[in-house]
Amino acid sequence: MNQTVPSAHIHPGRNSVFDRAFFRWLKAYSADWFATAALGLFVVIIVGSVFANAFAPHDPFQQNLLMRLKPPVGFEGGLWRYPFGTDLLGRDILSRVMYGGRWSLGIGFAVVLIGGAVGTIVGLLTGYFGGRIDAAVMRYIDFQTSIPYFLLALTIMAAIGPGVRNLVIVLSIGSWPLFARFARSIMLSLKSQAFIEAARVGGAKEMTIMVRHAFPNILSPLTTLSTLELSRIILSEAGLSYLGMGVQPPNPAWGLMVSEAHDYVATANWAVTIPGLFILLTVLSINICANRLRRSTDPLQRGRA
Amino acid sequence: MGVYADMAQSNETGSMVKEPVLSVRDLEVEYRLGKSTVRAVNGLSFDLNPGQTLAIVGESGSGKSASMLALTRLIPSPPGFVTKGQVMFNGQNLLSLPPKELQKVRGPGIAMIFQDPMTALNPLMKIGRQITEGLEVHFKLSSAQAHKRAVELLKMVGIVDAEERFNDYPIQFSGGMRQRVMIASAIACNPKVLIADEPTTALDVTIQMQVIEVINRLRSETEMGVIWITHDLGVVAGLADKVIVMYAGRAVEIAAVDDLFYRPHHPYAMGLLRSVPSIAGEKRRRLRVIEGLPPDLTRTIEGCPFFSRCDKKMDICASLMPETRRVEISGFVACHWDVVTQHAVANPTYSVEGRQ
Amino acid sequence: MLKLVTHRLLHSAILIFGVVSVIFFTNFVLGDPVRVLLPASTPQEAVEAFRAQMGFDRPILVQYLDYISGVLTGDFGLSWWQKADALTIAVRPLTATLELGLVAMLIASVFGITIGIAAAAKPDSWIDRLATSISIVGVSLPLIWFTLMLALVFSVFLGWLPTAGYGTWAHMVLPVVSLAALPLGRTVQITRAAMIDEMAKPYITTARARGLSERRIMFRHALRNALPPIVTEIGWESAVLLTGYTIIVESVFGWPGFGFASYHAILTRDMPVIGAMAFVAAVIVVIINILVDIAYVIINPTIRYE
Repeated sequence: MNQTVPSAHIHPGRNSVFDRAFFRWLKAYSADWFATAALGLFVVIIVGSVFANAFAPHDPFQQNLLMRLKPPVGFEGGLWRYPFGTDLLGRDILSRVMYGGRWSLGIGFAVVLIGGAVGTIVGLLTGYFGGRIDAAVMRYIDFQTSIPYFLLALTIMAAIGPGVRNLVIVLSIGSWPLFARFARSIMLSLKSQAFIEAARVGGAKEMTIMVRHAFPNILSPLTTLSTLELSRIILSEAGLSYLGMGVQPPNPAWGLMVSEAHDYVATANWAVTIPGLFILLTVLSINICANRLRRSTDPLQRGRA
Repeated sequence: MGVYADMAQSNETGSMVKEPVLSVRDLEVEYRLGKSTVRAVNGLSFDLNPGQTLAIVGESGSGKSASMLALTRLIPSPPGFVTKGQVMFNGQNLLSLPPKELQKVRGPGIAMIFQDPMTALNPLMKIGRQITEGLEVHFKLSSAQAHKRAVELLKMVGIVDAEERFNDYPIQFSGGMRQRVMIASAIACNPKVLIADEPTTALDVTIQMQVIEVINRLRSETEMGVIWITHDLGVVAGLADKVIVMYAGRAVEIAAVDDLFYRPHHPYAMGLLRSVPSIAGEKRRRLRVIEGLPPDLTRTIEGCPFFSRCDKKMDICASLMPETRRVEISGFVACHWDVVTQHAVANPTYSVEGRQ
Repeated sequence: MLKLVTHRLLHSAILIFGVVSVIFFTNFVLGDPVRVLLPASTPQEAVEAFRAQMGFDRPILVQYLDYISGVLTGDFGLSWWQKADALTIAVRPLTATLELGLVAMLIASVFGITIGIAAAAKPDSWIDRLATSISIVGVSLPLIWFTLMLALVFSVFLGWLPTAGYGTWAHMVLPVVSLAALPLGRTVQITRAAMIDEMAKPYITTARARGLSERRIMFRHALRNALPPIVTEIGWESAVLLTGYTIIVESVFGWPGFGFASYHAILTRDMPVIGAMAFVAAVIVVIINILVDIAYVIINPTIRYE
């Protein structure tokens, strides 16, 4: 007789949860070539940006007025020396795109890291302890998230002055409430679950409970949220830099490159097209990964977005 | 198929021979969840005559609801799939009917009442509309005619101020009242078969009795066949003509109601009956009192699925699924153990895979 | 119901007040208005004299209370550069923006809901895959780039539509398309998810058991129940569009609207106008929230009984 009695109470140890999350993640990708391709593209963009100093064919700041406005390879006048062409000042667009990725992706990751860490910690704490501070924080978050942030961010940037540090601060302020709300909801549901009770009865310290149980449980959905937030931040950064309130010239952030080439778009459209295309490809690959991650967390929800 | 032919011909106790209104043969239903497959229903066969009440009992997960949903292909797919079988209604096999034809059967042919009246009604549609809709679709009634009929139906199920409540939303009704609305909408098109999936579980006892009464009255008035899914043996004793006892996706015993209560043949059925203090039932209890758990249906089971929990088990039970055999006048049981002789069945014919 | 309305009104008042206050403090505490108004070479005495003359030397709280009491009477002050009433400058370009915004949101909603329903009708079919692709590309489009690409292709290369300006329907096409892309993508995603959620609920099985057609079940039963999250999303996207996306799109196409005007005010650091603009933006958000609330009650009349 081949019969199994399902174990009713499985205590999720720390390692098992990490393993499961990672395994799930891996499985999601081996199953879907499209998502795998998107992830591959994203990795290529990251590697190209991080190791721009090693791979970039030119100095991104080096002006060469004899080589102004060269079109990309394949168009009339295009040179292999400048595969994506050059801009108004004769700078190599490929190299600028690679270095620009450092700014655009770097700001994105920094904001997600800061906003994510602050928000998650605040959410876990207020969710765990509850009470008046929790209510006040949540009320504040309700207000902030009911206001579209872009205009506000633009105004604040104008007041405190453009620049990367200020940009990261302003975008992080816009980002943390999402993480806080999310972490709080996870914390609340965990609190009501039996195994936390069990741990408490067993004499475990409250902080130990939070770290041992809450963090591993929060990790997989947090990855999805961070991924979506990363793509949103990259778009916001591009918008703010385009409007002159973000990364400042001569630094090559993608949004700024679009902005600088805007004025001569009719004569040298590649100087706009290519950096913009990289924003699109980056955000698109992130969103495809996030979409796949979300689907893979629950096999029953295969059909759902 | 011999044994099923017998079953179809078999005379129900005390009633004359009738052509069955619904006839199910060898129904199999699977749920596919990721890589594992749950065999929820495994070779279910039965007949339902007009005016007859058939009760299906068994604990949760025994395949009662899945099999009934599968009859009119209402099982959500994926994950549910009907992999085998025949459901004959009105000379048609419902399992191979095109969707448009099937929609004509659902409602006027076979109607259903669901377990939870709180979620089974559309929360944003006036209850009157939820009754008239079927009438307009199936009988092409004008909205005035449908309205008139719906008010009659609401009165019939005991909603007194039907005219006023026609435009109310489900949230304005109590659970019992909602279940009445469900019944009214199910019987609106005069179905030949009414399947009631634990319609009283969510209700308190006095309302349970009223709901049972309403359905019983309709059955005797309209000669509709009723299939009553329940795990309440008190309900079974009170209103069923025939009972199917399901365990782990199989019908382990099919019997006339009196036979089941006085001479149960399957050890599981015996266990169920022992768990009820009195058949007359001043006090009803749920059936979860037999030791152990049902088997994991994601695995292939060799032998009898009840083996681990059975108090009559023999060596043979572990390796061979017992064939369905006739007992009493009209009953069937799937067990190696013979309740009459008190030992193993002589000359049994066993099917190796445990099903036909 | 009354409690709900008062709660909403209070919430709205605090929201508007909060936005105006944040804008005031960022401009007056984090930034120095005198530096904006006077050339950098102005001698120190002249700066101080000007500071005193404008009242910027008073304690910040006094200035704040002064400002707020003005705001309460609708007086945001005079524009620093245009010598006109700040609120008038903020309100005037609204019509042009509403023209764009309403058309764009109408297109995004109608197409978004239709595509979302079609995708939810057959999950994992080719229609679903196409819809998912459209929505992912839609939400991934960098507005600055998409807008320029549209201008490049349809105005510069093909010459079908004017590059910039205001007045005819031809001027509206490109800005509307730019603005609609992102809300369209989001509406598809939300509609699809909400419809698939609803179609899995027990009352849908009941409706099927009544012998209704799938089309009837989707449109007469599931859609209404799926609408609340969709309406929420459309409301939110409208707010983001009117106060955010228009800044970029109107700048590119030279559309004389609210976004263009607010960017101009921000660039010139015209504090009274920025304050009035923030106020107008907050009022837009509040009005949209109220409209969404009204839509909830129309969709679900039983809210009254809860």
